[in-house]
Amino acid sequence: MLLYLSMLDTEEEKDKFTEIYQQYQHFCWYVAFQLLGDAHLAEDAVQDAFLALTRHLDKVEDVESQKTRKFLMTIVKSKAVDILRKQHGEISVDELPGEPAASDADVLGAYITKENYNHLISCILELDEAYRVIFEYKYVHQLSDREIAQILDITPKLVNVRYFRARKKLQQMLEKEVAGHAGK
Amino acid sequence: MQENKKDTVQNGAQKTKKEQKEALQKELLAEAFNACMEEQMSFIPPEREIARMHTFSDEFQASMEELCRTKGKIRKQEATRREFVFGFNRIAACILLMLVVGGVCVGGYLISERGIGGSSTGSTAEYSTEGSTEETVAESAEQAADTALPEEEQTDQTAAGTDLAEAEEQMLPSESDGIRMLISSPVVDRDMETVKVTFGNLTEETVSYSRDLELQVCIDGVWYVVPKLHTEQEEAEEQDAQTQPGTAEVKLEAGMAQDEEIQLSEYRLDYEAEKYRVVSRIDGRLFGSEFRFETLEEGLEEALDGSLDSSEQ
Repeated sequence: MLLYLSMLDTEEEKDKFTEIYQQYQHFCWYVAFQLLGDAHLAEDAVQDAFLALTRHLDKVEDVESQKTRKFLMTIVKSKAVDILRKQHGEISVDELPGEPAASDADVLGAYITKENYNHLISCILELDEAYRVIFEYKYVHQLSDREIAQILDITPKLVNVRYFRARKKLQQMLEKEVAGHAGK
Repeated sequence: MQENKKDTVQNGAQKTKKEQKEALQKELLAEAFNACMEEQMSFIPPEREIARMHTFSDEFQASMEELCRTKGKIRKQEATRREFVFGFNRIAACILLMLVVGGVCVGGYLISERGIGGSSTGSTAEYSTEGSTEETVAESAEQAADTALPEEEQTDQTAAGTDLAEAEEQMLPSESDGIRMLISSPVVDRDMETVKVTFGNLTEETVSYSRDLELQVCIDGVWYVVPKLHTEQEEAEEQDAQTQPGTAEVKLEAGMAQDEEIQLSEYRLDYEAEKYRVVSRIDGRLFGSEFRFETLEEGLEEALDGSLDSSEQ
């Protein structure tokens, strides 16, 4: 009975995967193409994204929901960013795992207020995709560092490093944005 | 007491406030990123329109079809199989290495034991595997035994613990005047039990050859006769053959060929010897055809190739 149920589950997952692919293949390609500017590289990113999705199908509840669309968008964007990273050579020094320096005081929290919401939006829209995807995985899709690491094929420690870098970047942007607005 | 209580209450309140603030920040961040994603998505055209813009390559479609069919399982299996094959090869290599080391040790021990345990130095055999002092003693004993032998016998060699007599003729042809004697394979596996010899008669007359094939070994450029390992029954059979001459003679008609076999198990072989040859008398003349045993490295390579092939399959 258990075996039957496990087989059924696999078949259901297979159907779900095919459904997702058929529904979002072009959407995913378009997202990747916008970042990469190359049709074939975009195909590679789509393929990598769907391969990563096979391991996280349980996170997709409703194939047609906006949530699924967003989840796929983040995965494809992160895979496209990976391709860009590979294209630009080795990992940059700031990518190397290491504890965030003590001087890099995390004051982002101070800027995340209802009053600064519009500034936050404009900063996020300008934020580099490489940083944005980490925030999306964490706050929009509510994934843990380990889950993000699995999708990105990196270590949870590196996920944490990237997250801190992203926070720092956003903080710098917000600082400028808020200061600029106050100056006006 | 009351102050402590106040502090605790204040700390608790601060903690709750901090947690609430963090929760609010998280909520705001989630909302902001969600809003940004939605805005980003609003610029993406519908599927049909993108489909018109781009047609996926055949390669992409084929790999995606495979991915849909297997839900990525084939790729996972391939990776697992690759890991398994790699692991298996490592294990096979380790086992082979152990076998080789074991074989070399046992072989070395046996050779040294048999070599020293021959006719003249049997008492020194036990020293062979011991320290250098014992080896020196064994060597000097051997030398002493050699010098004690008559001059004629000093030309004999010891191979694999057996006394060898020098061959009647050192230079032998394998082919002469239309008569041929050929070994089926010039390199013979160590586990081969027989060696096939083909007698060919390209003359216009019938020739006769002896079925009593002789095995000879080449040591330091000199050919020696390898004596047979006789059992009592074989000795009797051989004596019978000698009393009935002509039974070992085979007539080979003109233009004909005949295969004969020499049983290697009947001889004590030294696989490390340079080369061997099978000798026979054809029409009163001696002919010899050479072969050698495969080296340990050749055997190992073959075994390794075989194991790799089977693992790849």
